[in-house]
This record gives sequence, C-alpha cells and structure tokens, in this order.
Amino acid sequence: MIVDLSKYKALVIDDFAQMRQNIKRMLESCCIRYIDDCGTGEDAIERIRKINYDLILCDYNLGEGKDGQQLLEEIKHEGILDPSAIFMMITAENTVAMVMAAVEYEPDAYLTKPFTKDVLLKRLERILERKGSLRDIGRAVLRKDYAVAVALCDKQLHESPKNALEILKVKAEIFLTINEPDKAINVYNSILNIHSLPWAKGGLGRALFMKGKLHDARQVFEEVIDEAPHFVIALDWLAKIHLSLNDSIQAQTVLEQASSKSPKVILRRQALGDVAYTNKDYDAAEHAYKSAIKLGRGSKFKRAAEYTQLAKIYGTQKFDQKAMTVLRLARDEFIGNNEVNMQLYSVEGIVHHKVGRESAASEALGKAMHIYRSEGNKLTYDASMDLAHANLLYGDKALGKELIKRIISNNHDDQALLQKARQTMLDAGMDAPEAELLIRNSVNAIININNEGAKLANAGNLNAAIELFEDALKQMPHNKVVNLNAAQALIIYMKKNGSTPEQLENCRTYLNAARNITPNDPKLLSLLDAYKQISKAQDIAQ
Amino acid sequence: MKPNGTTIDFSTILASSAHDMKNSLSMLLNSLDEIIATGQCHGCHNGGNLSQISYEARRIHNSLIQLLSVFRLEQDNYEPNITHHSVYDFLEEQILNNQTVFNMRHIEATLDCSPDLMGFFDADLLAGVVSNIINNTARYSKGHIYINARMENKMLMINIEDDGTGYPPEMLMNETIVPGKLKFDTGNTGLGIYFSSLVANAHHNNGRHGYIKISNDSCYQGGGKFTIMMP
Repeated sequence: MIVDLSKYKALVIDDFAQMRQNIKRMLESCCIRYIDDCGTGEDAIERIRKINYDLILCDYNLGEGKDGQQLLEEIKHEGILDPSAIFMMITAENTVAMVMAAVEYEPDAYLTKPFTKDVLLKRLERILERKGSLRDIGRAVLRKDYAVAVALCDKQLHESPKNALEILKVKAEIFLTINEPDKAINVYNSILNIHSLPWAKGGLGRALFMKGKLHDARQVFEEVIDEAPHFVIALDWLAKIHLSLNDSIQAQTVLEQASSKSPKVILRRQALGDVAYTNKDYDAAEHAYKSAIKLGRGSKFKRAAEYTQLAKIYGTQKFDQKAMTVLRLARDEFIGNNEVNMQLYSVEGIVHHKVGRESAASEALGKAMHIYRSEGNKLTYDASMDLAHANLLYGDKALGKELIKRIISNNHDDQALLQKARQTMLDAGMDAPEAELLIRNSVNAIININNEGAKLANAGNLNAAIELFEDALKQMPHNKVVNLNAAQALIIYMKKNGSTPEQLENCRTYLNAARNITPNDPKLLSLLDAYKQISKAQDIAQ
Repeated sequence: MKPNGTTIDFSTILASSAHDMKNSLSMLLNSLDEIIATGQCHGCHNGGNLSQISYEARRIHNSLIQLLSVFRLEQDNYEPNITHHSVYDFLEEQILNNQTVFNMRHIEATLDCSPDLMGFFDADLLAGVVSNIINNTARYSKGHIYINARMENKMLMINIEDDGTGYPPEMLMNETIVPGKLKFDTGNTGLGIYFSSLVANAHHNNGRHGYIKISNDSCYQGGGKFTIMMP
C-alpha cells in the first residue's frame, strides 16, 4: 500500500524549534504540503480547535505546562480530535509508567527517537490499515448498533488476524458497554490463556465487578497490580470496589497509592479528596483538593466541588479567611455560571455561620435562594446538596429536607449519592436516626411505587399503572427506574390497544430521560427497540 | 571530599549522563540522516563518509541504549512493557532503521516471517537487542543476513543468521545463556550479549522465561546464528 499524503494536514508539536524543523522537513519529503507547528500543548489545543488535522506528531516532553499525554487526554475528552485523525507520540524512550498511564487515552503509536522517514511512512501505513479494519466497528458503536458492531468484530477477526487483539479488545469493551459481563469474560479469558496482559486482566476484573462479584473482582485487580505495578487504572478500580464494600479507609489508601504513581491525573485527585473528606481525614482531603484545583484551572475536567469542599473544610476549622479566598478563586474560574454561583453562595453562608457571622450568613443564603428560585429545576445534585446543607444548618429546614428528598427520589439506587446525602444531613447537624428515616422513607416510597405499578400492570390494569408512574414522575423526573417502568407500561398498552400520538410522545420522553442517565441499560435498549417497532407501525397505518 | 556526606552512586551518575548523550545523539542522527538523504538527491559525492559517521553514531547510540537498559533492568522494580505486536512489522521496522548500514556495506537483508505471527514483548527492549545484533552482524557479513521468526514450542523464536565466518569459539555456548554466567573480556560484544540475555530473561509468561542462544549453525555454511526465544 502506498499512502498518498499530499492532501494531509499535519501538526508538529515539540518544544525544541530545531526538532520541529527536522520533523517538518521529514514530512515535506513525504509529500505533505500543509504543515503547522507549535511549541506548547496550550497552543496545540487552540490550533486543533480550529483546524481538522489528519496527522498530529507530538513530543511527549513539552517542557513546562502540559505534556503530550495531557494534551491528548484534553483533545479527546473535548471531542475536538477527529476519530480518523492519527496521533503519534514521539518519545526519547517508552517508560512503562508513561505507557500504562495512557491506557484510557492511547495515542495511535509511539515513535522512539531517532526515527527515519521510512519508519514513519511504514508506521502511517500500518495505522491506516488498522484504523481501516476498525472503522466500521467504530461507526456501529457510535450509532449504538451493538449487534452489528459485534458481528463486524467477528468478520474482521477472520479477515484481519494481524489485528486480532485490537479487535478482541473492542469486542470485549462492547460487551461491557451493553451489560453482558459473561460474554466479556469469555473474550478476556481467551486472551489471557495466550498471555497475561494487564488490560485484559483489568477487563476481566471490570466484568466481575459488573456481575456483582466484588471479592473476585478485588482479587483480580490485586493480581494485576502485583504483576504490573504501573497499571494505575487497576488501583482506581480497586478503590471503587473498596467503596462498594463500604471500606472507605482502604479506598483512601489505594487512591493515595494511585495518586503517588500518577499525580498528574486530576480525576484521581478529585476522587481522593472526596473519599478523604468522607473519612474526615481533612489534611489529606485539603491536599488532594488543592492539587485538583491547580491541575483543573482552565481544564475541562474541573469541578466546583473541589472549591466548595475545600471551603467547607476551612470553615469547619474556623479558617474563614482561607475559605473566602477559595470561594473567590472559584467565582473567577466559573464566571457567568449561575448554578455554581448559587452553590458558592450556599457554602459562603455555611462558612459565615460556622464563625458566628449570622447576618452575613443569611445575606449569602438569600443570594443563593434568589438564584435557586430562577434555576431550581436545572441544578446538579452537587449544587442542590450544598443548598440543602445551608438551609438545614440555619435556613429553611423544611426546604432543606425537601431538596435532599428530591435528590434521593431521583437516584434511589445510587449508593454513593445516598452516602453523600447522609453525610450532608449529619454535617448540617441533623440527628443520625432522623437522617436515616428520611433516606429510608424516600427510597421506600420509590420502591413501593414501582412494585405497585408492576402489580397493576401484571393484573392487566395498564391504565392505572401508567397513571401511577406518570404521577410519580412529576415528583422525580430523573428517576431511571420509574421512567423505564412508565415507558414499559405504555408500550404494553400500545401493543395491545394501538397508540395515539400523545402516548408515543410521552413514551419517547420517558425513554429519553432514562437514556440521559444510563444510555446502555439493557432494559432501555430493548424498550427502545419495541418503541421503534410501534412508531413504525403507526407511520404505516397513517 | 563529599559535601555533607551526601553520596550519589556512580551508576546513577553514569545512567543520567548516558541518558543525556543518547538524546543528543538522537538529534545528531536525525540531522545526519536528513543530510545524507538530501545529499544523495543533489548528487553529493561524500555520501560515503557521512554514512560511515552515521553508522558509528548509531553504534554509540545502541551502546548507550544497552547501558541504560541494563541499568534499569538491574533495578529491582523495573517492569518491562509487554504488549502484543505483529512480529513481521516489528522486524521490518528494525531492518528499515538500519538501512543506512546495509546500504553502506552492500548487505541484503532477507526477512522470513508470517505476516500473521503475533508476539508478546517489550518492543523497545527487543528493538535494542535486534538492532545491536544486526549492527554487529553487518560488520562480519559478506553480503547476506537472514532474519526469520516463527513459533517453536509455544515460544516466539527470532533468528538472525549471517554468511560471515561465525562467532569465535569462546563466545559459543551450547547451553542456553543466562545473565551472570558471562565474561566481559570480549568487550562490546560481551555487553551486547549480556544485554540480550537480560532482556530475554525479563520476559516471562506462565512461569517460563526467555533466553538466547549463539551458534554457528547459520543457514549460510559456517556463518553465525543468534537466536532469542520469548515466552
């Protein structure tokens, strides 16, 4: 295969001007005419936003500021890197730490310096061939046509045995996405029988976790870490498993280990801060949040929570000046974001209250409530939680409870969020039994609605079931299970009695709401199929 | 006199210097290859000298890589980055990387390997091994190098065979070579073999470790044959 590169747009990123010139000349001799170059990751992001490059050659080491890997993570996360574009990382040597830290956002190839034009061309040729064999699979995955994607994987395994492992990796990943852990386990085991590879073993652990086999999953991840200590993502999973086993102390230890191996990854710092905060290890939490703030400045990964949590820690320690400084920083970072502003005022109020400045506290809460009245329904759970916290502490206690109840109603099966709600109520001075009762009542209310609705539907009383679920959704529009149940009852009704446009419209609303929460839920996918059939039948009837 | 009793051991200093030298050489090699390439386009006549410089620079570069890798491999916590690779693609790339040497010495390298053969190894480490052997073989070969690979006894076997006069008797070992059993009086070749055996040994799968073999069983009568087995 001879590659025609004359139409290619290329970008060369290296902090050494001399090296950039070398590579540019090499690309010119490969007949590429359009070549841009720059010296920093920040400049590169600006360019990639504006121009669709076909080929990006980036040195791993970019001096101060972002390194090549961080650049790749940001452009992939931001979605500005075209999926067909080729990203090659140029390195002086491939250290295992660097490669292992990149498993989630891998470049298409690592090129070790020095390399010749012929090696570069060969690599390009192979990457294009590999991307070609994965392209149709990738497209099927993008349009969520998973059955087709799996069939294409099998076809490519046959036609392109050279790329077998890449294809198997994608196939197993699809099975995990559509909640078929057993099928994923089969694929991973078939790979592990040939050779132990950290990503395959990690995949096996994820599949076991999905099946709820937490102890088996823990063992697998511990083996991975033992065999490949640099595979940091295994530590993230181990921490997640410890949290599911309600062992937040172990989770913190593991996350500390992960952060020390790969301190640059901001998401890991955020998770460590959150878990240390839960453990009331405020020194560790302060440290983690501070570095998350530093790494997150100007980044897509930043959250307001780093600032608000840190401010709350300072408030608890009566360092109100420090807390105010943090909140000011947040206001600058999230300028023009109403929701964050409301959250910041809530936390500002909490801090004022802690040091006894009551009038300042109510003034801040007043500002927060003013924004709440206009934005109320659009708030994230994080922001509502802080508003609830302030209200429970010294404001409208009934509203505080109502906000917490609403968060739980919308997420009654999310254990981590329930834990956060519990923590908030306790921090705001509620009795433990009262907090538990509020949680239990809110969760039970949802479970009862779902059970009762299912009973009505099974008894053939579909109208009553639909009415019950639709009524419940007025209170908890984001509850996944209730949305799915409402859609299901409607679908059964429409199959039996035919459909009206209004029913179809409602059904679609519920399915979309569920899709926004868990896009790959197997029940959702099968209901979507049923919905499509009904709406098609109606189109034909008209 | 050591300030405040602080000591940095010599191998760390050596490794750090080797690292610097290697990066400088890498820049130098890039520029050199480019000059050679453009020089040929313009009918430049001292291309031969430049190729000689490039060849020697590449040898130094290889030695520094070995030195650094040996240093890392001997640190207890070193972990090779073992992933799957197409063996054909890998070997083809090693040949391309050493094309200057082959051109200069008028050597024809033949690659014999199924395009579907899959291997599990640390590509950087194995590239160091193969590059070094190819480079040395090029000095002794009369014009042919035969590089072949296949699965043997569930291990990946890579052979590099030449049509030279074979390895000297003191380097031949009938038993498989393990690190630690080597003498260093053979100079650079000794380091190369030591490095190769360390790299092979660092690869393991299901309790089996890799190893190397050196013989004069080349397919060209009397020539040398280097074998590396990877589990």
